[in-house]
This record gives sequence, C-alpha cells and structure tokens, in this order.
Amino acid sequence: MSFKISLPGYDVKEASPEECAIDSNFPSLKINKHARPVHRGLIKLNLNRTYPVGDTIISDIEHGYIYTPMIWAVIAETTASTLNIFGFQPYVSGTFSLEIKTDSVKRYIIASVSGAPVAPAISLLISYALFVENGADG
Amino acid sequence: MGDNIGIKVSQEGYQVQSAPDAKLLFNSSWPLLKVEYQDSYTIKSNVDQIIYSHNLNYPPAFYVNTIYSGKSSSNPTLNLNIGINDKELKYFASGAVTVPVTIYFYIFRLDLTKSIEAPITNISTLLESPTVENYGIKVTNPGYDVDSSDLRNYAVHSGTQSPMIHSVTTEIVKTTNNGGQEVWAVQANHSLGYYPLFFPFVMSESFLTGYYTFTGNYTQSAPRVFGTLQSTRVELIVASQPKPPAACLIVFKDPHAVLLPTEEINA
Repeated sequence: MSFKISLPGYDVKEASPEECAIDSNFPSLKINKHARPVHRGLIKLNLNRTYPVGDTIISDIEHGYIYTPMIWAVIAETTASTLNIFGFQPYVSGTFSLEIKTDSVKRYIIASVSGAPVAPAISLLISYALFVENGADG
Repeated sequence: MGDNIGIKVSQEGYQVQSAPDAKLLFNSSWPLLKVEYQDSYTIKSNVDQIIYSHNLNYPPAFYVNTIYSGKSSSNPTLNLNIGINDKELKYFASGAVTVPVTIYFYIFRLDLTKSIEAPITNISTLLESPTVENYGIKVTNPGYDVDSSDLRNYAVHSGTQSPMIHSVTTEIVKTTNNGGQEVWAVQANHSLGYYPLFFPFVMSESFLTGYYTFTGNYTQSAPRVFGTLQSTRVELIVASQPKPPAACLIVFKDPHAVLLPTEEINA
C-alpha cells in the first residue's frame, strides 16, 4: 500500500512521483523537531582568536543518532559590506576555511588553516539543517 | 486534469490555519524533495566512472556528501567533478580529488529541466507556539510499521520538517555583474520576504559536458559560479563562460535565517 497526494491539476490515480506533493514510495528528507540541541537553526560564530595550522574543532554537539546523519550548512559572512553572498559550505578566506561536519556521534564546526596561523577576526552566520537521513553508511 | 482540492499539515507547535508556509510539514500545492535513491560509493581510482544509473530519462536533482576521516560534509571540490544527466550520476577524474574517497549520495525525483513555481499562501513570521495541541500524521515507507521509532522509516512525519520546493527555474538570461561585465544567470524572483535556501545546478559547455553539477554557491574553478541571495531574488551567475547549455536553480520555502533558533559562539 502507498499514500500519495498529487499537485494541483493532476489526478492522483495517474500522477507520477514528480506530479505529487507526497508519495510514500519516495520518502522526503526530514529534520527531527524534537531534537535538542535543535537540528535546524542558526549559529552566530564570532572568530576572534588565532587559529593554528591544521584542524581546530570550534564546537561539537552530540546529535543523538547512532549513525552519521546528513547535514546542510550555508554560511554567510556578516561582517562583509553586503550580506547577499552565501555559500554551501565550506566558508573559505585565503588559507582559512570553516566546515560543518558530522560523524556517528557529533556535529562539528571545524576551522582549518594551512601555511601559517591565521587570526580571521570575522563573524559568520551558519544556517544548518541536520537531517534524520544518512550522510554516510550505517 | 483533477480538481484543485488540497491538503496541508503544519509542523508541531503551529496552527495549520495560521502557520507560515515555511512552518508547514507539507502543502499539496508544492512538492517535497522526494528521495529516489540513496547509497554510498567509493571512488577507488582516479578514472571516469559511473556512480549510479538512475534511468529516470531526465536529469534529476542530486546531493553528494563526502566522507573524509570518518566525517561527512558537502565538498565543493568533489562536487565540481560529479555530474548527472538523464541516465547516470558520474564521477569525472580530476587531479584535484584525492582517492580513494567515499561519498554518500541522494538522487531526488525532481527534473532539473522543468520550471515550476509554487504559490505563496502565508509568509507571516509567526513564532513557534508550544501551546498548540499536537495532532499530526505519519506515513511510513513501504514495508515499515507505523510504530517505528526510526524516523528514517517514514515518508513524512509531522514530528519533523522537510525541505519544501518553492520554485525550479531553468531559464538562462544575460545580465551584468557588480563589475559591469556581461554574464549569464538564472534568476529566481520570489516574494517570500526572506532569504531562502537554494540548490544551484549548472551544465557547462566545456566542463563535464552534458552533465549538471551541483556547483556550490561560490566557486573559483570552472564553471565559475556565484550564487546570491536577496529577499526578492535568488541569482545564480555563471561568470567568464559562454552561455551554459543548461542551468537550474531550486529555491526552497525554507528560510536561511528567519524563524530559526539562534546560538552564539565566540571562538
């Protein structure tokens, strides 16, 4: 058995998956609304120290799953003269980069530096969505 | 053609009559991002290789996670070397990619060649209201019990929220960038009243020819792409290129920033 709801103008009995708002044969991506800390939110990240060469974990939280979930993260530089350029991660400026990652236990914010230590002195706005669905096998 | 009779379900904590579009679980006036297939794949050697044959007969939207040192994230370098057409998802060998590397990918039931635009029914900025009684629905994937505690086993579940598609734009237009140069762009005008999340796809004339890539929103490498968000327009600029054969901009109902709980970190 399956459940589907067609988009306006389409007969649900004949509609293809693309012509449906929902079709239970094709699950949607989902974010758990009950998860704490929240799995869909914003992080205002103020970077005000010198970061050494290599990876530095800035923040980590346990996500509560026993597998690696998928994460989307879109990062904006709030100290730029315009706030209209956003990028799916990572944020990159010269030899400094910032990424949001997951493993089977935690969500991480990781700063990476190559070459020489960097003091970025910037504020970033990270919009993230931690999904129920897998970001890796398991 | 059927009659336009619809249904909508709000996320937990919201009255369905007053919930803004971004706080619905779904509305039958627009599609959710539906998963056709998901799997992991290891690129073992740096040669062109088919990752997955989907055979949908159209180029579908896709998303790739890259796993390095046990951690998963989107990786723009690898994204630029993975493309999709109407038959397959394919890796194109590149010296910029270190192999072996494992990816976890999603193919969605959404055609990158077909423009769609959903209506806007409510863009109020209603804040979450935990006093609302929580009635909801849940629909399992085939073969799973409705009492399953694993949310992955549900097609939709009102204890969750799902990316909702506001529009798919495929028209490529000539415009000028901030420097006054002529460029090609996909422009999705919207009246959402906030910066929405979006997926950008580009088919380059000279790079992964015939395949769409998930370009990221800003890349220095070819195809050089700038994605900009404005409260009334999302724009995907393909710079320093001849007119690309195809491009696609998927705009979600989901906002970048508004209506979201915020945490501040000083580090």
